[in-house]
Amino acid sequence: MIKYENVSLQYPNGTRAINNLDLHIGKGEFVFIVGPTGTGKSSLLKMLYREVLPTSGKVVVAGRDVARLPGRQVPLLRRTMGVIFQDYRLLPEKTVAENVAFTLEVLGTSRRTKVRKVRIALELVDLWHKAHCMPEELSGGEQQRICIARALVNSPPLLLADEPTGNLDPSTSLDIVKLLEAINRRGTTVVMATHNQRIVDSMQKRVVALANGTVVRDVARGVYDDGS
Amino acid sequence: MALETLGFLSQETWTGAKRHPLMSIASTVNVGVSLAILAVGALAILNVNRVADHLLEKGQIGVFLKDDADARAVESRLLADERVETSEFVPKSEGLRRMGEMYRLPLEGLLTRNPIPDKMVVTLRRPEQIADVTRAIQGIPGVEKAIYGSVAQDRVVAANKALKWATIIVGVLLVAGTFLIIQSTVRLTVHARRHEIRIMQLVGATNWFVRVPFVLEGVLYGVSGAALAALAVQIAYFWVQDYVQRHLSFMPMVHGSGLFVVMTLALIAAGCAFGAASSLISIQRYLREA
Repeated sequence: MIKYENVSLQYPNGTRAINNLDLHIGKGEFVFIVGPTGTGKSSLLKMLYREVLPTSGKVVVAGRDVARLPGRQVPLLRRTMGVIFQDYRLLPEKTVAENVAFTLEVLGTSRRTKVRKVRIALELVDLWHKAHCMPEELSGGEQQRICIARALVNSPPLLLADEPTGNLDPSTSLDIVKLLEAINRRGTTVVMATHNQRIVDSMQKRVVALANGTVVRDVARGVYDDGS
Repeated sequence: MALETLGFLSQETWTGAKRHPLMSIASTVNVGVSLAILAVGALAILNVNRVADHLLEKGQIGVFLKDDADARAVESRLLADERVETSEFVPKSEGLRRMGEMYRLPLEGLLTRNPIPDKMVVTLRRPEQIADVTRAIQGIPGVEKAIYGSVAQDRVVAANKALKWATIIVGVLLVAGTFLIIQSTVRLTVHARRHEIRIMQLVGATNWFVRVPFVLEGVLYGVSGAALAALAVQIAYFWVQDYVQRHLSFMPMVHGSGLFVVMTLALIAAGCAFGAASSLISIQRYLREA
């Protein structure tokens, strides 16, 4: 599903975020990308949806070399994945249902399909009853679930979560990750960048630890810090 | 593009315009004023052209005869010049009638004596020889005066040239101003919706999908402004036309409903182009940053 081959990334200000990184993630996997702030977790995800381009090396998503993709095909690449952010990035002037439907508007989905898909996505995150609320009327955990519903509404095969629990309390964080696990069980590949040790330890999933922009540990059923 | 997508984009456009109503109104009025001034300039040029055409048919010389002149002899001398194509004899009674018709006045009834001399209207094969031929005709016995509308026409042509330049210069300044105003207004919307743009792009919107609501917003200001301008200019022109007809009835004016259909369509097309172009420039920077 995802391949990083000898990837390096240096930002224009000179910061080297990723250094000669190699990583393979298979279809249907649930992977935690862990490490302290500034180790390149977010940069790793950003390269997948071409928010940033690698300085060297190759990033392949579902058989497509992301860096070599012509500009007009970038939207098509992004339609194959859902992205969840720490700060939710909901549209404050749209209702919950409109926020979730936003992805489908972009795709030109018919009204009937839109209504059905939004309902399915909101039921999955258990917020259908709040479909007509405005985002500001929801708690942080609920807003993050809306963000997940928006990422999922188009049934993408890949879900990227960049610190999705960063702004949430421990119990809500666990709920969110359980939700992501449920989504993963339905066949969606989930890649989650986090520095939430408690969650990583409790889930016993594949853990890829980064330090200075490179993989220092990759364990199939790992914990946040194995003490090595 | 699906009808539903178009509906969604139109709704987004309207939401954008409503976000800052005062700026939206200012943009519309500004486009309206700019286009109205351009339209007034264009109408003035058209009318001055009309006056110039009216003053003289190109390549014609008016040859006024002395009271005792032999019109036939003069005519045969005129036609002997191979540069002359035709010569038409206009007797003094016909001359008076034509003048009355031109100025829409019943001159024959008003005057006790006809002051207009007999005249020959000479048409040349090549209009550029008009000055030479006029001089030559001046020497023919029986000719009181041979004139072509050089002075009057030159003045009108000069006035028209000046008017054209004034309209072009003022037009360019106004277009630039209008551009900046629409651009600033759309930029406000773009800035207010930058997160939306980002999210649109992340969920796979093409750049054109992102651009459309902003371009439509610009077009909305442009077309509304153009409609305002067309209405205002039309009302003002009718008023001026009415005034001219009552007080300066000899002055010919361009009129007809076709003129206003063309003008309205031209204004709307210009408004559309202004709006779309300035919005595209506003949004482009944000698309590059993304």
